[in-house]
Amino acid sequence: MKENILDVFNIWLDSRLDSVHTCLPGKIDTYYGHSKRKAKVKTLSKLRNSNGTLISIPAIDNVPVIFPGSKKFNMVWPLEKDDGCLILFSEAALGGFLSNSKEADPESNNRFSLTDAICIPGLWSFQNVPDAPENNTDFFLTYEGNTLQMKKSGTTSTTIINSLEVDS
Amino acid sequence: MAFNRVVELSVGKNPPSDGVVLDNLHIDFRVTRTVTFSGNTAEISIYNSAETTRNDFIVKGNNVILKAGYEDETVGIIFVGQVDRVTTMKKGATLETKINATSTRAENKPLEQVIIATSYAADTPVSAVISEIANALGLAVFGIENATGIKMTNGFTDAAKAKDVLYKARNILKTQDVDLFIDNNQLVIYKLKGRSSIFQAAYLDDTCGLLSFGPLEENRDEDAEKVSTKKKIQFECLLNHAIKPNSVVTLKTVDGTNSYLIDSVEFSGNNYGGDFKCTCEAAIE
Repeated sequence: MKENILDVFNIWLDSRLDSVHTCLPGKIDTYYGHSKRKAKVKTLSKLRNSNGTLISIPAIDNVPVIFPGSKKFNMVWPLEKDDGCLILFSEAALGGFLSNSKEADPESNNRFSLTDAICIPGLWSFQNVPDAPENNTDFFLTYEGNTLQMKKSGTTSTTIINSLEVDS
Repeated sequence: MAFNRVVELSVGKNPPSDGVVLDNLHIDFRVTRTVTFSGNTAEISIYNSAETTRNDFIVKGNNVILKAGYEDETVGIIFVGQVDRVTTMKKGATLETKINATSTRAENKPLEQVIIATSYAADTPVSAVISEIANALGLAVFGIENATGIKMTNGFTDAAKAKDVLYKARNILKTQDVDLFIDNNQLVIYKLKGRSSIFQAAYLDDTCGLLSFGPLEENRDEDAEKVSTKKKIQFECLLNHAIKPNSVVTLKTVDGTNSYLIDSVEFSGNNYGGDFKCTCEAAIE
């Protein structure tokens, strides 16, 4: 088969993209606690490279975890093994950032590398979505047996904490 | 005394045991080996080979081992690689089979096909990744001590072709002015600054193999940015398989006796007459 220049560029680009990672679904393997907000994560999608080979990615350690927060505000929740998450891959090496408090140099020229992952908890496959609240219109915060439910404006706001129900 | 040149080409799935050894045909070759990460290639032409040899052994993806030297001295391997392309053309009564091969891969374990899926904790030495890749590819590692103390501050995870994983490990090395290249079945790690080598390849003078010697073209450039090239030289010598990238060659010339580190070597010649030499570019050690 004779390959034209476009084929050659496409083969080259496919091969090059094998090393460019953007984001993948994953799950928590180990969570090291809120004081570090660091996890070991496992991707839940294999890679298929330009040769057609399927590759399972090993668990990635030293991954920062995003919780909503600021210097004066924190919203954290329990995170445990097998919780679903989205794993992003930084376009610059993150080691410098993670070990510094200021703008840092990337420690290598690697870009979009599996090493430089960031975890956002809360991505689930349709099969594994956790138990849903009773409706799709109210605001819910649920934690094990406790539920904080806020209804739409003009209706009753309900807080249910175990068996205690407060209407206001 | 360099009598009776020998050229031996082995090609097949796992030569020489599972392959064919060609040493009685006319063979032309040009092999380029450099300290560049992916620059080692060979162009080999053989003449009037048997049809079964062409169909069964000289096919894309098969391994190639090329040996050359002199019958009264050592005959050694000058190239290990794999067939990228084969073309056969009739020139008059002669049938020429031209083989293009690439050497940035280990024998029978191509960099493009071997998959590495690996993960290391933060602050693991980069040498751990390099050793794992070398083991997977069956490569001997030289100069691993040059990577001592270089750590992967954020750990290391990858799942890709060995070539791509090695490229990322190399990027970490380069931040500390250390680089690597693959030369035949060896993975060589060396310092970019204050480069040195443990390989003493040859001593050459005009009575012992040295054919020509001179500065590189860049030496004439007065641009200050090219100061680093001013100590580079090029020379030709009788074919010597021991000369390889990053090896030391000592030359006795009109400039005195100096040792040089090889940046690149081109082996060229044939087994029936004409050139049979190494053309080298080198920097003073």
